[in-house]
Amino acid sequence: MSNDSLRKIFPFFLLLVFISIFFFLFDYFGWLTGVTGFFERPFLFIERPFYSVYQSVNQSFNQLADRNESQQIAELQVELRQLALDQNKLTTCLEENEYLKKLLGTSLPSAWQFKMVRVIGLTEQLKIDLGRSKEVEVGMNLVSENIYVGRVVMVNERESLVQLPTDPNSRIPVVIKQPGATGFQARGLLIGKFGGQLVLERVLQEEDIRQGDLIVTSGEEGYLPDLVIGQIKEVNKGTAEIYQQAVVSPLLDYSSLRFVFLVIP
Amino acid sequence: MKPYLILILVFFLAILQGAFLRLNLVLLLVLAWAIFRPTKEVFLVAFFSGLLLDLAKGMPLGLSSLIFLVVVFLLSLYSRRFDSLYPLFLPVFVFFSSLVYRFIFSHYWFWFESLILALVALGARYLLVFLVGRIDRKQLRLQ
Repeated sequence: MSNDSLRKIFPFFLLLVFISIFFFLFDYFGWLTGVTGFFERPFLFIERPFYSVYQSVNQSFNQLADRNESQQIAELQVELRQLALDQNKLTTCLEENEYLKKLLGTSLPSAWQFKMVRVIGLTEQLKIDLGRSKEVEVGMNLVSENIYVGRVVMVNERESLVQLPTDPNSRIPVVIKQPGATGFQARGLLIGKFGGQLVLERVLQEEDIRQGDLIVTSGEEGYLPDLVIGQIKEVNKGTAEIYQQAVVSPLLDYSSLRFVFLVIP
Repeated sequence: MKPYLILILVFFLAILQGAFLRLNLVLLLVLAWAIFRPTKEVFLVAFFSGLLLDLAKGMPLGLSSLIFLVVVFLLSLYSRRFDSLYPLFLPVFVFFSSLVYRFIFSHYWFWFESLILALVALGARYLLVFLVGRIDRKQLRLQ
């Protein structure tokens, strides 16, 4: 640090702090949307190819590391995912059928609409290329096929940030379904952990959950219902605990996503 | 070299951070810059770097600037008490700054990432000392 007197430049420091607070408050209340939208544009324009290159390099590197093995694993993962999806579709269809029989004659909710969005970045959150200008709102859900991808937590003029289930702040109310069976086995809370892990908590000890069971959104707290998130990898039943825990493996590799669908309910 | 050309490097790093990079290299660069450059200039660099980072990451505008300014101010205070060229000064400062920064944005303590950034800071500090030393020698020769 130079010999500048800190006291002399303290007013200058305060001025910059004041401007920063001013920017923050104006942005928070949405009074800077036009300005930020204008300045976000070049960033989006440059970030998109950077992220594509990163994804390509990442994939190539993984393939080079162990081509045969990774190829086989990838194929099996796709197969497993498809099976899990099919099973969930079947059970959901059965349940829907039952509900529809009951609901016959009453008004049904209007069909969801989907908007395709491009993924332009992934750090701790997923960044998509649609924002307030395209009527994206906080709380909207994103899916890929019928797999839950995340929920919009922040909206800017031309981009939005999506909280993934693996985010340490993510808490998703879920139900646990056994593949092929109707109804659900138990309720729980899916929590994201540091390092991209998923942990199922708040499942009572007496509930029967097993490896391979599907984790599906329950539809509470603003999450859309019946979207698959992952499969139980390992169940940990603590002897003295009220609740049991399970490690969940997501059905999606979030780093390989290029396009996802925004659900407009 | 004009001192504010550092903002080009900041812009590039902000783009990387916006796209895929998790380590807060912009913060590291600002803090490393703060050790070697005049305080007033560093305040300006911190302010604009914060704005660039917020725009690139899509975070609330001005929040990173505010954090950077406060961190640089604290660094300037501590560099009067301690020797800022001591090898562990920058890494320790980077570690705690990164930890607090990430907590403010993510409400989660990212210990591991902050530790890695501190290790990067240790290497970057030697590189900067080497580069600044070379520039100083060149200037002395010219004089």
